[in-house]
Formats: sequence, structure tokens, C-alpha cells
Amino acid sequence: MSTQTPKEVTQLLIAWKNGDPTALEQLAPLVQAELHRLARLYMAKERAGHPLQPTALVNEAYIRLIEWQNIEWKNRAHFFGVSAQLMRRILVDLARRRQRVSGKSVHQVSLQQAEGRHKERTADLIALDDALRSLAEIDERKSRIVELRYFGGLDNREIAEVLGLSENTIIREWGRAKAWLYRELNKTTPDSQPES
Amino acid sequence: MAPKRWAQIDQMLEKALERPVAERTAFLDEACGGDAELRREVESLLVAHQEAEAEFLSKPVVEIALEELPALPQESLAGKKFGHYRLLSVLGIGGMGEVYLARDERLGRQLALKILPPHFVADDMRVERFAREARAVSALNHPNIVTVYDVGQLDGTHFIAMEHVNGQTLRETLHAAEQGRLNPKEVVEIALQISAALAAAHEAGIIHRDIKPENVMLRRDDYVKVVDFGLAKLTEMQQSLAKTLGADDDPAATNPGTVLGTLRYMSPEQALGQEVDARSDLFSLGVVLYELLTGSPPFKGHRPAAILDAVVHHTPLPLTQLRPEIPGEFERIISRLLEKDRNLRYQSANDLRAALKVFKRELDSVPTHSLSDGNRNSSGDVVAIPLAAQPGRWKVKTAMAATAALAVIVVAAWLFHPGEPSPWLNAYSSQVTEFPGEERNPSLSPDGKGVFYARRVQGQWDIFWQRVGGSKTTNLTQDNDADDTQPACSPDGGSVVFRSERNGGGLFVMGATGENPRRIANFGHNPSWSPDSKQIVCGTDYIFNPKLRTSKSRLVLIDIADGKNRVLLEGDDTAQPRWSPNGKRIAYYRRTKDNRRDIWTIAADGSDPRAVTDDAAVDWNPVWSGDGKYLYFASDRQTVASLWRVRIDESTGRTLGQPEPVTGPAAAEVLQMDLARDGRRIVYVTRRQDANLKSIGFDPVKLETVGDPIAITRGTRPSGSPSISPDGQWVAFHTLGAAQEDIWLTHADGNGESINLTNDEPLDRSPRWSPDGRHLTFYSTRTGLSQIWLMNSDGSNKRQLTFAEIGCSSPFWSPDGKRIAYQLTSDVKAINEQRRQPQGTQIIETEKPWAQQTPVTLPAINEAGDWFSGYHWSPDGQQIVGSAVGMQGQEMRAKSGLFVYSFATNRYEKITDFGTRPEWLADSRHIVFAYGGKGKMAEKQIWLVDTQTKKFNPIYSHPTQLISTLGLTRDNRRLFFTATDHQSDLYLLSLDK
Repeated sequence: MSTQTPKEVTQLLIAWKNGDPTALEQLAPLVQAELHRLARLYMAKERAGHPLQPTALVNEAYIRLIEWQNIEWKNRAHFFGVSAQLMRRILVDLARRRQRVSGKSVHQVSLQQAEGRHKERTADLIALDDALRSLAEIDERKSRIVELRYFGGLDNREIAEVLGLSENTIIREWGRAKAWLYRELNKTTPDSQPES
Repeated sequence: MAPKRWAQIDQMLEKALERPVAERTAFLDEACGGDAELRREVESLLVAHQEAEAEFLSKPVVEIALEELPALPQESLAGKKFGHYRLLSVLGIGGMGEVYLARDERLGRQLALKILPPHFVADDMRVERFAREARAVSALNHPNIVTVYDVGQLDGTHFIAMEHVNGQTLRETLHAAEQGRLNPKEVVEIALQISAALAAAHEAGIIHRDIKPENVMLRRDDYVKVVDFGLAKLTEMQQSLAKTLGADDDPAATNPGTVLGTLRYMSPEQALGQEVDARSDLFSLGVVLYELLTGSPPFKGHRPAAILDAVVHHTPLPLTQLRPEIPGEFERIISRLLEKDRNLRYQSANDLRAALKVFKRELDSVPTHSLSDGNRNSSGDVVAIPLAAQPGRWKVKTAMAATAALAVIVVAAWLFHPGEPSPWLNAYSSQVTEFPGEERNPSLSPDGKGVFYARRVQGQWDIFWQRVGGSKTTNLTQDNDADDTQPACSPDGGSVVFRSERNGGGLFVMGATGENPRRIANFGHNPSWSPDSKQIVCGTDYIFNPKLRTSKSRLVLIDIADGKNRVLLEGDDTAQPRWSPNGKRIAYYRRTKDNRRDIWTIAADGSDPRAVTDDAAVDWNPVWSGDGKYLYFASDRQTVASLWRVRIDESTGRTLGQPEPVTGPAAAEVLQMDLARDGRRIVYVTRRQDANLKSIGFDPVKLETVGDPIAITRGTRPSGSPSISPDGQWVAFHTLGAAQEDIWLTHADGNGESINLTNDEPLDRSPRWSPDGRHLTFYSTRTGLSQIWLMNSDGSNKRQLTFAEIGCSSPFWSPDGKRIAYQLTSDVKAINEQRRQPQGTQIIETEKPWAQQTPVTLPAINEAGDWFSGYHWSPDGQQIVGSAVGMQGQEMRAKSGLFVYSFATNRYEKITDFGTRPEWLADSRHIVFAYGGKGKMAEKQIWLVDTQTKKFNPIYSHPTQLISTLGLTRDNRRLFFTATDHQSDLYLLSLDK
């Protein structure tokens, strides 16, 4: 039986922060287990007609997992950055693993089409992650905004605060980042459509 | 693609998006020149932008992920054997484990068995301590405490075996209650029993740490049983997940999460990570009682930080406002439990019990029927309380106490700045001045024992001196009729420099006791002395609240001896200079063109300006510590303005760390401060504003007000923007505040409860009833940018009407309800860059979706391009009244006067030279409006103007209150308005008692 305490999670987070890549591997299952547990609560609540706020859930997961006092977050930006990044890694890893199991091909479904269809979301997430990485290569800031908003659950005001930009800038950058990603994800790939 | 190329595409895309769709092709034709690839890229992104607009990535992934994640299979242990316990059925599942109804096969009794999740019990020491406490509490054998039989471990699984209570939790009781709340009599009964349990446990040295409705059971025979003493401690973090016992549903069904559920009941000291004691339990009990009485917890928020912020800083809505029939005495008891400063609460559960008993005796001694008038409660039973006749306001005292609790580290500090706590954390706080009205600009004498400040007496500002701790005040500038403000005591303690409006205004120097005032400059604000007392540095303009600031100040040095001066710094708006103790640098406030408001320093010779803060927060009022090692300043980085400091190298201006909170924000904003030279005392100004709705009779024939105003709202949350339902029964209004801005309904006669129509973090403002009384339009930032929304008058079915690219605000209806007009929020940057955007007032059709709308933009007011901010549509549908806004240099300014737009002529007519918030009378001819300017206008605040003759006259005034937003009933027989009282006072924080 695993007996992870908040302390261990904290140690792992610190290790990860300090650049130890193996820490994430150990960290992910812990956060995941917590998310599973929350998912169960979430389902139960939803059935009972009291759906939970998703952002509240993420916050809750972190508060419960981490010994706050022992982590020296440089600032809010740092904290939100780390948690959004962590969430991204975990969810994408989860999606990849699930995909390996079901063995489906990826790049064919647009995110919009997939809205409301569970199975395909897995594929979307991986595609999005890839696209986001490409975006980061040419426009780091936009990729961070997407990460904070989509994976970190932050709203525009919070992102503005984290990045030290105006809210209007965030709103506009977000719009253009979405446009880029949307176009990227809807490109027909060579695999699915041989060149004629 | 190379980042450079992308930057070029992205920039072009941004420019294209700023243009109306119809103009984009032409724009790209021109802008892309022959670069066909660039054009192709931008065009495809424009298409993608359009398609991605609505749904793409619209939900955070977590929401999707949670639906996706396979829930862990729930292995029910029901039916299984667990040691000598046979598990019979599940009573509840939650964060702190699963609870089963079980049978002890050895003793043959039924009990509740809680199985704890492994990670909460990994630390054996802690488990042992918990077990010890549990046994100690059980040994008390108290009727109001659930007995723990056994804490142990079987096959590696930890469990707690305890008394099975046949009943339900207070949470379930609340759910089942009519209107979701209990009546005061029931609540007193419950409170007495919980306080008995706490008294016994506290005496045994055990703190509960997690008092909340889920942890209190109500047995069928009305016995109250408190569960899970000390369990919270087991989880390391105090926001534990103690779990319902004997319940078949989840403890936090109404809360977003279990942790969040628990946060709501946490005391401020717990929220701040400080040691808890018995009085912390009393605070949590106060929260529970408040919720039992009103059905809603006093501190709300969707995020942990928001809840904690509320717990630490916000004064809850007065109980009597939510439920007027609650006896004043009961309100006093609960507000005392909810004091932020634990020294101000009841000091023991026994003290509380005594107070409750006295109150209960009064309750019981009054025959129920004798008080039937005036004390109805909505569930039909009559509550008999002698004191209930005057529900009154939430005490000013409460707000003061909240301010006194200022010496706390802020929530963010706890979450994000876990380093050395500020020494001010444990500072002693006291109120220096408590005159009605305002005191500002504190300046401590060099020894820190006296304080100079400006105070307004009968409309005039003078400079006063007062010994810290004393109450006698000396007016140093009473010989003069002009306003005197902004004193600064010289480092040698001999002189005071100040701003005076005498003889055309400027800076003056006088002796420290007020003698020999003489002019040193015919300009200047916020003066600061050089350490050798020979020079002054000042701004050319004044700051009180930097957020309201639009003018531009320079920094100027003045020689005291001969008054010679030279400009130190100009360009951006720079003000509030402060000379460093070694004289080498000057700190100041700087606002840049893109409206960033930060603290900078510059060398005293005008070279080497350097940023101290560089962030989105508004930072101002820099003050050096006496040893030059810290720069203190005021900042709104925690929503409500509060004090911060940063380590700095006094000689170079380099910062040596991140800003850290000095004190937490209190119920009031901290606007100005000064620090004693020895660094052990801070004096600061807080300001509170109480804005409430009132209504007064109006005679639509004689066109004058009738009688005296009555109070409609009585909260500490500023209320405004009243709109009266067509049937005259209800008033919709908004509340403003640091945490939330929401829309409410209340009865137009000022009685009964207010109903909350929005309760969320986005701003929701300016509700307006539809002419048929079925809907309210309002504006909200729920999509990020402020847009126009519509909801049913019960708050249901909120839907967005506008999806514009710039902000839209202050909507109002056409008299037939078919159209809605609103103001466009001018984008100053766009105007300065001469980008074309619609400005002024737009009209849309209520029924059409946004995609099918063709908004009509009203024309500019004049050739100068001033645009029109419409406020109200005339009942005959022919005209709109509003005011003018225009650019002045690089800034947008409201222009004075009211204008009427006529649909018939498509032109404007200026009706008055002053006034705001106009409303038409039913005759579509007269207009009432608000204005409280300076001088003769100061006391005349509601006016009436005849649009045909343009004659105007005051119809209502108040000597001290400021009157702002207005609203009329449809029959014009009552006039509603917002009345604001200002209060600012000086407080002292001291490291020495």
C-alpha cells in the first residue's frame, strides 16, 4: 500500500523544479491518483446535481498534495506556471498511454468536432500538445498563455497578472494563439491524405 | 517557420483584426504589398480566428479530463469483516475516508467505523497524538461529544471506531430546512450545546480545529453531537477533510470541494497559518451559526485564495440585512465570534455560553404573541425578541476592529512568500484619529512620537499635530482660511513643509508648532526633505488614489534658503518623491503612457532612474526605512490596497528581493503612510466608503421632493445604480467592492431581504429593468471584456447580448423594450493610434442574436469629435439623455454638461453645463440628475432641469453625503439614489507596546 505523504510530494516537486526529470515520473502517478479520487467525488456530486468547479478541483488537488510552507515559490507566476505545466504533462501522458492501449491514429479529428465526444478528446489532447510545442518554438508567449489558460484553468485577469501584461493584451494574444492552433490542428496531414 | 517571420505575420494579423471585417481585404491589399505568402498566412489565420472564436478550447482541459478519467473503482467493504467489526453499510464517503455502520461482534453493539486514507496516517507520531487526544476527549464523557471507542490499525488500514449517532449532520439539517435555514430559537439551542462541547474539550486542552456543519450531528432527540475532535490535526494541513459521520451523502455537497468547504469555516489565524487556539474554534462556530441563520456562509469565493481573502479581510453582510427579524442581541453575539482579532472575540466557550444563556432567557421570557407585529419571520412563526425592534446597522465597531486586525500577513504571503515573516506581523495596532470625516497625509516627527496630518473641519483642510497615543490635537494653520494639506516634518524636527492654497497656492514652510509660515514655491505637492533639511523635492501634482489619476506631474527640487528650483524629472507622470536617508537617491511614483504604475528611484542629481517595482499592480507612496534598507510602499497587488516593502540598496536603487507584504489589507483601503525613522512605527491612512441606497418621495406635478429619505440598503458593501421594477415593488442594484461586484434585488420599501441575482467573481453592474418587468439587462466581465447581458428578473437564464471587440457598458432599454442602448468603452490607445473604432453610444435590437445585429452608433456630439455617453431613453422614445466624453491630449476626459440626442433631428442639444446620471421624468420633458461639485454646488446634489426652458433647480441636498446614481419609479412618485459617506482615519502600527 502506498503511503505518500504531502511531504514526499513536496520533495518531488522541489526536485522537479530543480531540474530532476525523474521526479516528474514519480510525481505524475501521485497527482493522477489524487485526480482520480477527485474525479470520483466529481461524478458523485454531478449525479447529485452539485457539480464541482473544475478550477476549484485543481486548486484542491494541489493544496492537498503540497506542503505549501516548504516550497519557495518565487512568486505567483512561478506557482501558476509550475502547476499548469504539471497538469499539462500529466494529462497528456495519460492520453498517450490510453492511446497506446486503444491504438488509434491521431491527427484526424479537429478539436471542435470532438467537442462532446469523449474518445476523440484523447487524440485531441496529444495533437494539441504537439501543436503547442511547435507554437512555443516561434512564439513562446502565446504558448504560455494557452498553457496557463487551458491547462492551468486561469482566467485572463490572472494570466495578465502572472505574465505582467495587460488583460487586453492577453485577450488579443489568446485570440491569435487560438487561431494559430486551430489552423494547425485542422491541417490535413500527409498520412491521412496522400499528396496527389 | 522562423520566429521572425511569424512575428511579422502575427503583427499583420493583429492589425487586420483591429479593423472591421469589411475593411480587412483592402487593408491587406495595401499592407502586404507583394508578399503573397504573408497575405495567405494572415488570411488563413483570419478564417481560423473566426472559426475558433466560440468553442475551440473554450473549457479548461481539467473540466474535460475529470469527465474522462475513469473513477477509481469503489471497493465497498460493506458486508466484509474487519477485525472484530462487521461492516454493515456505507454511511458516507469523502475526503477524510469512508464511514461504515458496523457491529462490534465482541460487544454486540453498533458503531460507526471510519477508515482513514493511507496518506493521512503515514506519520505514526501524529496518529498516536490524535489517538491520545481522541481518548482524552472521550474520557470527558460529554453528552455533546461523540465518543471515540478505538483508534487503531488492522492489516495496515487505520480506522476510528466511534459512537453511531442516529440523526443527521447540520449540513443535512440545513438542506432539509424550509428556505434552507433555521429559526433563531433552534439556532440558539444548537449554539448552546456546541459551546458546551467546546468548553469541555478546551478545558481538557483539546482544540477541535475543524468546526463546520458537517462535523456537528443533530440526533433525533435534538441532542447535538460534535464529531472528530482533533482529527484535523492529523492531516498536517489544517484544512482537513474531517468527514461526516452517520451520513449517507457527502459533507460538502453544496460546496465546490471538501477543502474549500472547510476553508469557509476557518478562522483568520488558521487561514494565515498561525497557531490556533480555543478562540479559533469559536470563530468557526460563529461562521456555522451565521450560516444556520441565513442559509449562506459569511465568507464566499470559488477559489481557495478568494475564500481565505474573505475570511481574513471581509466583514460579512450584516445578519439583520439578510434577515431583519434576527434579534440585535443575537447579531451582536455572532459578530463578536466573527471578530478577525481573536482578542476581541469571546475569550472562552464558557463566556460564549453565558452570553447565549442570557439571550435565551430573554427569548424565552417574552411571550411569543406579544411581539407579533414587526417581528414576523417569513416561515410564519413569530420570533419574540425585545431587541429585534431595532435591527440596526452592522456596527461601525466591527469594521474598526477589522481594521485593527491589520497586522496580519496576507494570504498570498502565506501561499507564496513563505520566507521570513515581516516583523510587522505581530505589531500593535491602534487608531490615532477617529473624527467624523477625513484625515490624510500623515507625517511622523523624527522621534516618531508626534504625527502631523491634514484634517478637514467644516469643509476646510488644516494641518494638525497630535502626540501619538494622545487625543489632544493642535491646529497649526487655523489662522488661514485656505486649505492646508500634505505636511512633512523636517529631519531635524524643526520645520514643517506643506501645501497650501493660500495666495494662489504653493509650498510653504513653517515652524513645527505652526509659527512663521512662508512661501517657498508657487507650485508643488507631496514635499519631501533632503536629509540635511536644506532642500525639498516635490511633485507638481497630487496623488491620493493613484487609480483615479490622469494628470501628469513632474519632480522638482527646491532650495529652502532661496526658493530656487530646478526640474529633476519630467516626461512620464512622476510624483510622491521621497528622499533616501543617505541623500543619494529619491524614490517616486511613476505612471507610464501605457498606464503602468510603479515605484522608481533616481539619483539626487537626476541621473540613473531605476525601477523598484515593475508589474501589473498599482504601487505608490514610497517611503524609505530609517536605515535605508527597505523601501515601503502601498500597493493593490492583493486587491485591496495595503502596505508592502522591498529590500533595496539605498545607494544604487537596486532591489535585493521580491516585494513582501508588511501588513494585510483590512476592511478599508490603505492609501497613505509614513514610517518613523527608527523603523518601529508606521502611521497610515485607511479610507472607508459606505454607499447605500435611499429613496425619497417626489411630486411629479410640483416637481419637488416630498418628505425625508428612507434607507433601502444598510450594508457595508457599497450599493448603487438603482433601477425600479415597472410595478414599483422591487429595486435592482449593484454592489461594488474589492472581492465581488454583483447584482441584487431588494424590496422598494426598504424592508425584507436582498436577493442575490449574481454571485461570482466577474464584475456585474448597472442592472436595468425591461419595460415589461420580466428581464434585467446589465453589463458583466464574465467573458473577460465587459459586455452587455440579459437575465430573467429572478436571476435565471443569463445570456450575453453583445460580443463586441471593445468593452460595452451601462445598458438601458428603449421604452418599448425592443432595443437596448449601451456605452462603448473608449480604447484610448486605439484612439491615440488613430485606429478607427466605433465610439459613444450604440443601439441593438433585444431579440436578435449578435450575428444578425447591425448596431446603430449614434453620431459624434460636435465637430471636435466628442462622443455621447447615453444614460436614459425618454419615455416617448424620441430622445436619449447623456453626457459627453472626448479626448484631451492623449487622455480621455468626461466633458461637463448634459446633452439630449433627438432621433427626429439626429442632433444633440446641450441642456446643462453640469451634472451626471440623468433620468427622464414620465413627461419626457424634465430630467433629474445628480451633481455635487465644489463651492456653492457642494450641498445641492439632486437637480431638475426643464429641457425646453433649460431652467434648473436643486431638489434635494445633504450636508455631508455625496449623492450619485439615481432611479425613478414609473409613476415618478419616488426617487431612489445612492448616498455615500466617506470616512478616512489614521492608524498606527507599532513594534513596541
